[in-house]
Amino acid sequence: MANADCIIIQGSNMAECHPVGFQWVEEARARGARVIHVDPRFTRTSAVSDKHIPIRAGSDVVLLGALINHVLTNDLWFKEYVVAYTNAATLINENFRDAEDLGGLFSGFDPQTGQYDPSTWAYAESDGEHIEGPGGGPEHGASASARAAGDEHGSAGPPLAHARVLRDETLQHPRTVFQILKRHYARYTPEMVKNACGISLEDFDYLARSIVENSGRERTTCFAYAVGWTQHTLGAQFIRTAAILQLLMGNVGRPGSGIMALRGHASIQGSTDIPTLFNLLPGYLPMPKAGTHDTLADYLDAVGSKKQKGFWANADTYVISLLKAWWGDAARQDNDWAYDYLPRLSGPHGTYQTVMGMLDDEVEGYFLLGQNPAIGSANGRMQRMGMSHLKWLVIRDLNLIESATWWKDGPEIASGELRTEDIETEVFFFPAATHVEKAGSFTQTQRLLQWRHKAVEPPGDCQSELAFFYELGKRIKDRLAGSTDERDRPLLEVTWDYPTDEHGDPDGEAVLAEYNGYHLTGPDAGRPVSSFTELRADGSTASGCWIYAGVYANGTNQAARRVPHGGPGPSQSQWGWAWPADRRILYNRASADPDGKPWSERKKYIWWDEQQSRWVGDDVPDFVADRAPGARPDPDLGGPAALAGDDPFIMQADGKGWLFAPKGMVDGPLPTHYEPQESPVANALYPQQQSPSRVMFPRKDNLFAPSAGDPGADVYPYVFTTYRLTEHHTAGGMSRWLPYLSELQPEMFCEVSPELAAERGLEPYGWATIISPRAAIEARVLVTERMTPLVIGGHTVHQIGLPYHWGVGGDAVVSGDAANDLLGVALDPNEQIQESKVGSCDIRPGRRPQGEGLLHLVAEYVSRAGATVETDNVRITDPSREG
Amino acid sequence: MGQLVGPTDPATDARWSDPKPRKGFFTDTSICIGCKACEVACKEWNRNPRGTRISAVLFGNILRAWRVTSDLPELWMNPWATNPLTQLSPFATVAVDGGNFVRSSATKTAEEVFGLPPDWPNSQPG
Repeated sequence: MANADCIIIQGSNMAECHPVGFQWVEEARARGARVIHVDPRFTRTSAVSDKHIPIRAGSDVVLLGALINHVLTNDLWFKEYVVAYTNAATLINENFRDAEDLGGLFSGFDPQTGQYDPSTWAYAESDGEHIEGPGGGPEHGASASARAAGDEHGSAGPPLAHARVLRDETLQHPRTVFQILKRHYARYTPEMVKNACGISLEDFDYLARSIVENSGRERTTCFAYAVGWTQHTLGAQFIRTAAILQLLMGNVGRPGSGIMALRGHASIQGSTDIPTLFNLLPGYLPMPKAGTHDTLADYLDAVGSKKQKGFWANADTYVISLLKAWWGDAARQDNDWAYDYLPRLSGPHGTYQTVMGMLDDEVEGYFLLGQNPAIGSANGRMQRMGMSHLKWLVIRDLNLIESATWWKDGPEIASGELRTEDIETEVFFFPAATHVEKAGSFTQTQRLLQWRHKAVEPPGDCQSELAFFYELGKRIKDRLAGSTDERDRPLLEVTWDYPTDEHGDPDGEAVLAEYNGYHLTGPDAGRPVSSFTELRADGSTASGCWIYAGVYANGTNQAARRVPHGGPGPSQSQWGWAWPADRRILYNRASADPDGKPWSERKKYIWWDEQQSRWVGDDVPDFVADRAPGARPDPDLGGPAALAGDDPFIMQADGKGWLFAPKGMVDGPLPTHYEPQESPVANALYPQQQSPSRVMFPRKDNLFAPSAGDPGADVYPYVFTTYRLTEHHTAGGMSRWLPYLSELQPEMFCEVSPELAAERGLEPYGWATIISPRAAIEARVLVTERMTPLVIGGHTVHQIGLPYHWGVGGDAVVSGDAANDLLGVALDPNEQIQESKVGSCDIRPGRRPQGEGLLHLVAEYVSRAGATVETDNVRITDPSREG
Repeated sequence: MGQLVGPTDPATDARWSDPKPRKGFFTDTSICIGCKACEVACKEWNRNPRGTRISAVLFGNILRAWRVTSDLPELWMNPWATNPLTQLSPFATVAVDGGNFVRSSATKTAEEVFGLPPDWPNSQPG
């Protein structure tokens, strides 16, 4: 980011929520970069930016789509980059129909299942057919969403049967991606931005000019986002829109370019790499699905076809090395490397589905590790009520968080919905070691693994997660010893042999070495692999996470490298270790032109050296090291061998950056604006109000406010958005127990504009009650011009800012009502993330009622609005409503 | 009470029953976003009572590790200090009066105030 000439921060309050990473924004500013903050609120990020542009929460696709339209219409895009490196020239199936043609839907939507059949979105083939996914055609959205399929390609593109695509490099053919893109965004105009986002024509012009003037051969623009983009029913599409814009401007794979996904905690990136997600195995390998991936061959074909381009074609080496790491000698060729020991997914077992499973008494036990869902998850009441149905609950945390005490002092005890003596859940609290009391690695937002040494021993019974799970695994194996039941074999045979220190704790470096992988046979037996390219599918290598292969190269913990400033090079490559293969900038082949020469001296990074016949430069080339720029191998070779010298996107099945996604997104191949699940604003672009394939849970404990045009929409007239403060850590487990931090932000508050305060009679520093169809909470009133009323479609829309750190409980230094109680549960179908950045509410002065009166207040509003389980839970909006 | 340095111990003057040596630290304010973490660290380290605000921050520009004291030009007075500095400061000060900054000039160098040799920390106080 320090190398960027312009930085757009949108969907993130980076200065407050990512202050360590923000030093690079400040560094860029010191070098003359322009920084623009697009956000519903003016924050400390805005305060140190060149400009703050207020936006209506949830309208980001309109703004980004209008920028795409602007650069296409005015011919401001980076032609050589786009033609050579993206799929702009690729032809799409003739049966494809755009959202422009079908009132906001793409071809293939099934209103019965609420899901897309993406076969018409596929690339066209020479015989008039389309290129299917391997293993029997494109996966229907029904099963793809059930696996949260969009999330499985975190480091990759989805598979294609082969890479023989049809291209028209003049971009004139009406079925080229380029022409489809032009038509799709033609109505995303500055006027539309003004009407849908509340952004003036002048501000749009400033933003567009800033990006255009800072893109091209000589300059680069970078985007940064966080959960302000992801936590929406179409969050993944927000990011796709930015990706399309950045590809069009040539801002991917170059210094100071790209889209930075800011992660919230020290190792959230690590927890998706070594996944805590239900649908992933390490290294973004999908979890096998029952009935679809019954054999290893079925599974491997679905992960990456041998006939497609790029490194996913080698998925067999990653998967079999993983199975060898987990089951050692029990993973043999004759049992498909113990593939059947892996569990199979039978449905979308995301966190919210799990909570609903608890309410239906389908889930008996629950582990909470450093997580406080009673406060931190959407629809907090549903979370707490779900836990009250469990037989047992294990909490490992630093403090007695609200998720550990809801049974005695939670809001439902106060309201009388739960009585402590009736709750049968057995709650076990295990004190956890803090980050300074254990060694391990953090993987941060740049994919950088940084090793952390233990500073002090954990006090008392406090234990690291590693020690806890190692011990738990040993005890389970002991319990099962001697069992002849087939289902116990995966546990009995799993490798579980980590060296321990004098305290009996397993050695974290041994785990890192296992992730890295090592040779099992031959002269190199026992030697750590130095790269994932050394992994084999014949059982001669083991690797617990293929993208981490190299972190323990030469038997050295590369994550512990700490050369000051990362060494002399511009990529700071001697600090920590970046996956994959220690590459600091992904897709860096794109930093050179199609002939392999730097686009400019100023943005020089990786280039082709004729003498050496190799790619050289300031980073590890993210390309086949000796593939010449002019090489055009037969696409039918498959895998890395099929990559042409101008295919920088080496993980995509066709080697190109995808402006149009023929596969992989379950809610549409092009980002399209839909309103949030509940919104007081009608969709200005299409008759279709909400994203048609969003995941909904029509339940009485999950009601939604009527959207614009429906009777009762005026009962919840305001938009609220939730956020974090720099002084507190998420649901408060690490900060509300610390007096010095609690003192800085002692009380739950709401941010309202002076105009809204006047409209509702809210007094500065007095109390307000905020009511949604799920809950009512009270908060101190902060009247501030940081909140800007926006004029949307001729009406003023007020937004209310709500920090979500506080919760009701008895153990923390400070407590208060939880903002997330106001949220309902509606999910993005790609990765099952909840829409927590926008909701509808009312606000009024004074404190909320206590006890049963609180339930009456919420019910009175619901009744007045006429909200039922059908409200907002209709897939296809009645087109007649558009008028 | 309210003195920065002087003949008596400010911690004792502030009625600490068990006064500990006070600590100061240097932070790079060019990347300041106003998160107040430095104030938290200062308070926590020095065990300042809950609900209090620090009195002032001694501000330096482009600090050089080997000449820290001579790079400290101004003492910024906290307008919300629990114990505002009442003693006339030997440092150049910056105070806030309404929306305006009010500056005073120094009567002593930082070396003189702290009793340090001019090339501290390269040489230690004698």
